[in-house]
Amino acid sequence: MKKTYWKGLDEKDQSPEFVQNSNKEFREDLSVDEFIGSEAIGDFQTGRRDFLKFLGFGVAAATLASCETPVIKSIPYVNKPEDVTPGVANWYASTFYDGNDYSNILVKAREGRPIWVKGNKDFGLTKGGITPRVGASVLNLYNSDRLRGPVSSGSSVSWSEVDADIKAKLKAVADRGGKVRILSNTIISPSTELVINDFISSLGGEVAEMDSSEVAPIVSDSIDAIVTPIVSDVTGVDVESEPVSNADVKHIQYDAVSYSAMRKANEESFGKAVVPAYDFSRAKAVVSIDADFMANWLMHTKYNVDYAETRNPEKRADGDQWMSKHFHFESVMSLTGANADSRCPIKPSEQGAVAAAILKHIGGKNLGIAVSDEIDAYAAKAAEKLKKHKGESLVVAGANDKGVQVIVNAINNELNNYGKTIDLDNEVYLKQADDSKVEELVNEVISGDVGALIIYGTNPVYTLPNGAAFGEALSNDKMLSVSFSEFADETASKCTYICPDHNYLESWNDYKPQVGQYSIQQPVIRPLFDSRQAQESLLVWGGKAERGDKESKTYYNFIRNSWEKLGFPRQSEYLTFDEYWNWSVHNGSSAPTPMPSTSVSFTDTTSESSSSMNSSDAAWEVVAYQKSGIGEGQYTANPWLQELPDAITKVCWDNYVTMAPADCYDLFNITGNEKGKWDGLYIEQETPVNMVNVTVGEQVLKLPVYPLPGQARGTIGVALGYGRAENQEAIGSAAFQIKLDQTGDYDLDADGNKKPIGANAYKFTSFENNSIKYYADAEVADANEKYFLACTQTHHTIMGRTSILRETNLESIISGHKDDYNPSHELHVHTKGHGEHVNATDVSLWDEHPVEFVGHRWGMSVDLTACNGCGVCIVACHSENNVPVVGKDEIRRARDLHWLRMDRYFSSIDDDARARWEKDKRAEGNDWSYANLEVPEDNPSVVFMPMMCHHCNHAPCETVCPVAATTHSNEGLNMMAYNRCIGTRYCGNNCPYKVRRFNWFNYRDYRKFKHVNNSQDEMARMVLNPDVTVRSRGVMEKCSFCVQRIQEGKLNAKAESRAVADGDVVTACADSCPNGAIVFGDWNDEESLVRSKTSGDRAYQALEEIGVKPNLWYQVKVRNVEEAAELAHVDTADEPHNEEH
Amino acid sequence: MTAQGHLTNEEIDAILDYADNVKPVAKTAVASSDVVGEDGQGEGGALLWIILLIVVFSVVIFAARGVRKQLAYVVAEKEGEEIELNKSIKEKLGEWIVRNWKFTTIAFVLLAVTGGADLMKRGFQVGVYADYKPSQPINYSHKLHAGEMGIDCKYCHNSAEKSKHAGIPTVNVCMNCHENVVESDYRLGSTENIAKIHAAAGYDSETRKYTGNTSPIVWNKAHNLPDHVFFSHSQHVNTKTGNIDCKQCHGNVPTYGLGRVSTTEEINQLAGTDGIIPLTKPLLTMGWCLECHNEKAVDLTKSDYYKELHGRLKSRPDFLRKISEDDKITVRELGGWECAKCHY
Repeated sequence: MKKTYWKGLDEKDQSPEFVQNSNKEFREDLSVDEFIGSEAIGDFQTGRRDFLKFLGFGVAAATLASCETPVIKSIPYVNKPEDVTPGVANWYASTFYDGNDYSNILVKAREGRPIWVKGNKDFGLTKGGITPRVGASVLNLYNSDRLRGPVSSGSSVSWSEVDADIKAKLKAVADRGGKVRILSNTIISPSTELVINDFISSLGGEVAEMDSSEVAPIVSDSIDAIVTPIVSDVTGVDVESEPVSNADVKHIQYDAVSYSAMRKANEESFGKAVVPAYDFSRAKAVVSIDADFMANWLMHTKYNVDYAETRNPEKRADGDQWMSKHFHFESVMSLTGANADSRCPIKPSEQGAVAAAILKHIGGKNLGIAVSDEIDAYAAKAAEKLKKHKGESLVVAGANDKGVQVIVNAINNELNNYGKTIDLDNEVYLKQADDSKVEELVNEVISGDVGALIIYGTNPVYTLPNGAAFGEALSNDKMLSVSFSEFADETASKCTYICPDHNYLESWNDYKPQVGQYSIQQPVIRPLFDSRQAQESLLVWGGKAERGDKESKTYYNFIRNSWEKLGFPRQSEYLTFDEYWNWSVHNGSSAPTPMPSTSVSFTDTTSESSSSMNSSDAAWEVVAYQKSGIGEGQYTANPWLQELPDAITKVCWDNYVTMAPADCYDLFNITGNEKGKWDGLYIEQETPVNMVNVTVGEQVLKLPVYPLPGQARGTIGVALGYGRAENQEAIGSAAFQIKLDQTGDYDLDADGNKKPIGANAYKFTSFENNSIKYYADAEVADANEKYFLACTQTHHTIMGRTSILRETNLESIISGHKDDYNPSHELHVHTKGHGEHVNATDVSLWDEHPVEFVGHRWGMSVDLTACNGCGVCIVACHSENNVPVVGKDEIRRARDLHWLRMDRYFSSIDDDARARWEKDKRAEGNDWSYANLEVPEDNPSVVFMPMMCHHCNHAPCETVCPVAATTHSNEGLNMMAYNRCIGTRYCGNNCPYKVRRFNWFNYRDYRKFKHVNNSQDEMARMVLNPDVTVRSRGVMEKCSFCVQRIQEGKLNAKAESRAVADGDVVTACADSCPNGAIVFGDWNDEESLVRSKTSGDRAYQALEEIGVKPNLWYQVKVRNVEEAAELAHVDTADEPHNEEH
Repeated sequence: MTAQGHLTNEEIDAILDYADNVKPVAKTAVASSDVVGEDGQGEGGALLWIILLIVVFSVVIFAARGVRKQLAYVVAEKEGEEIELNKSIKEKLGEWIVRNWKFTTIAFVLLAVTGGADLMKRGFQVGVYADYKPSQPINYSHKLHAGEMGIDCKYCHNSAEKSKHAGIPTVNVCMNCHENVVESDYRLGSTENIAKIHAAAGYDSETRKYTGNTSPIVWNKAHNLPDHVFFSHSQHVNTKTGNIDCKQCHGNVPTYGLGRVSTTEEINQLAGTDGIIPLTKPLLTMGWCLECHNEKAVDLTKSDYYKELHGRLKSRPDFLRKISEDDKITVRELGGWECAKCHY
């Protein structure tokens, strides 16, 4: 058995185009053909004389232009803020929360412009965990389509008019006893909660029992007792007297991706409608049933970091050496599933059955729900591990289905996990929506019962199952509708008033993600537009504050006061409030004050609840899932996120149907013989994929099909978050499809409307059993159309050098020898007439480059075990290094410019029937035959490998550059001087890692990129990092090891008169990696972390055998699997070498 | 006002003494060196004029030729002579060249060589900012402030030690003094210039109060480096790092009026003082940078950073011996000629 690695089906099947392209670095032939073959070329009427005239004029103009010295203006501050030094970055601790992601972050600002975001590893709940969405959020701030001021019925108005109108209308509604509703995403801000409650009571509404259990015990009187002192302190405005008393005012929280069933299940099981705190860092066995806890599920930013702690195969501080064992059951391959030790594809309707099977196998109640033998076998294996780690295990489920969640509660209870890995007392406040209340409100709005609706932080017209009907109701004149959206999006554009809120980087807020955890969000930039903090708007409309200007401190003072009254008395660390406040702002959060745990009493309702679980016998089931880049769809117009290849499919700029390859063969009538031919399964530049019509109820979406290895048979997945702005709403220029040609114009439909990217999968969701269901029975039919996908999976192939990857299992690490799982390469050489085997690294054509011990030698170590492929580093690199966004058509042509790419390899391991058969063909019960040959793409395992410039000390690119534009520094860097480069691209051709990128265009002003490239937009240009050159057309570029940070780090050390230490110089990717998979430092410093990492047993250098001596090391990927995975192809002297050496 | 802790009593006495006995500076005419400079380079303008003149003269010459020819025809016609009308100018010119082939060859070669040399010389001047002095919204005099008053460079350009930018002083720095110095008889128009600062700062010099209506001053940048060059003042100026005197690159600024780019010749006159190294290439060109990096020795003892570096060098004695052959380790020998030190 030889383990094979493949990036896509075309590589696995060795499709002709793949074979043809695999030996090419660049595939530019097409554009020339297209140009020459174009009909339009005959229309050009440029004669020889004209040509000479243009030439002459051009030369003269260029000469004259270069003689002129341009006058460059420079405008210093009038009053320089004391803490700003031009040219030196400021860092601010803040918090990101948008209803989906919660992260404690650090924001880098240059001259008052936020330009880069990373996780805060020192303070806060999430310990540095972020997602690509958080990293890219800084670009949302500069979106040109943000509203410049308040809007009423489509035309801009002044804040004073808006305030007067809204106040009057609200009063009218309240006076006549009409319904006033506030619809928001989950509010985890204690101060915002106070503001909303105060607003409700100012209209005469009754405030529901405050959910925040911590506020209640301190001030038990009434809402007024909390709000009145704060409000009158803040503004000096007297609280309005005697509000009307019969008004019906309610605040309803709505999550587009809801976990309402989990709260209900916990209420049933434990009497508390809470989301508990999960501690993945203590779980030695993890079973996840469709919970993508690394990228999307609940507090994923924290879980991701915690989980990574359990995945360290090295010896721990206490001498133990262990790794958690992770089982995953899901339909669409998710980031979490791809990282699991054992992954079982299931249909969504089987989730309950899987949970029941696990419950049965761990010795719990047998609910008698049937499940297939194969799945049962997986469940049994999982249960075995769970039983072994009682109290140290964790079972989680993603389904918004009470039945499934109740069974999972029973499992965790049976495993004695409550009070250990699951904490019901320190609940998580995320995702507080109650779907039944949402459904009720939606019906009220649709039936016209609501007098006034205020929408905050949510986009229900886009995300609701019946969003269209809701949108129509919003347009109703009789209802006052107000939105706080930053954009005139699907919902806001239908509202009577849009009162744009500040961006999160422009405003103050506080958050309470979990019991005892408080964090602060602080502004990093003065508001760019005439927007106003939503909380201030509510205070103004509630008569508690006067309208402020851009510098308004109303809400800032409000938060400060509420922290003084509520937070300060509860801590003992600081003596004065100022000290407490200043440190909380400085750190971005205050020290956690968790609640002591109490005993848990479990009520078993599995039998009753499981009876209402969803089941299905439809031929197709569709799953609406979240991607790690696009998420719920708030930032679909963010070009960095669109350009980020999806973690699993590696498709950019698109939405598609994921389908098991075997199902594709059936659906598109591809018989076995034709399997290797062109059939729309291989995604290449000139190979479009098939499209299908997916029908769920009355909704039909036409989408391209991506054959996804590992997808459960009979299921399809459609990502949420696409299909934004169907009615041409202005949410950002990158939200729409661009033509696949040089014009860069929008692709318009027959009516001249811009086509949204992908289709809206929220249409497939539905309210069922009081919760929103994210999967459905579907009909899938071939649409007989083709569609081009832009997919990076087979770009820049490594030409069959599979030794680039190494993986093994925990057992080998603990008891095996390095030579078993990470042998060094040996070469067969002839010296003095006889052959011998020598270490590959000892043979070299070149003299040693003098980097060892001379000054610094910058080195990087990438731990393939810790890396989970989330893509945070790619976004971090994009924003740090001004990497241009190139758009779908260029990606399709393999001209992506990612300096850092995340290679994703599929491989087939585990339970390989064939391996067993080959081992002993006559063994008892070994009935394997070719008929049931395992299909590798049915359930492959996945390895992620970040790939960037290796800064080889014997760099092949340097020797071939005709103009010495790329040279080696004595610090081990492979330098790239853009202004020297003449663009022969020979270096890219000669790079064994395929990490050099060519600037085909002037991305900052060529028309093709006008809608996608942020440097073409005068607002979005502000995100550019002033420390890095914006490259021009015709030059090569590549990872520089963030040389600007190296220079800065060295300079800081020099100025402080000390040696460079770990942490002084960190590349953007290493700095942002939530799991510490990337370590960077001075390799010549024998104390440095990177030095110790690279001298460990797991360290290896990719393609070590070709002798380029890189400054980048990888750590062997370790999985906690029983059978040692067959080692990746390792070159030994005995094997034939076809490659050039 | 901040406490001036570093002043000794004698110094304070001296200041008070000066303040008591200060003599008003004699009124002078506008110093010619302070005349507001041109935006463009003079050379380019002159070239344009020459081209224009050549064009005009050519037109005149051709017109005159035509008139002459017409006259010749008229004369010939009158006298009944037969003229060769069908010979074109091209043919005539060809004949003339063949007749005088020695002269034309020499002329052509001479023209090509001098023209080519001139073009190259001019080409090298493109983008060279030496001696560049743009006009400014405020006729500021370094001579007065840095020269006569002796204000330290880094008082106004105070981020030079901390940041890559030395920084154009912000208005609030000007106002540290000009809150009180509201008029000046230094030269004609000085008070008006001070008034411009007050306008920018939103300061009413009558009531001595800030109005809050600020407007930034738009200066014209004198020292321009291309976008792909990353130069750090901090690396060069900070005492722990380069510890280079400002004069090495900016010349004797206390003698200037408006800010201007110095010239290599001017700076070379200062060579020898304050560790200034004489250089040959034009100011602010890459050759000039490299020249200095090739000469300048790094003091490996002044900072623990360099001590650590030196320690590591000792473990490669061959390399250390090679680079310290000339008794100094230059910036270049530690990598100061590498592309990515300045270009990234």
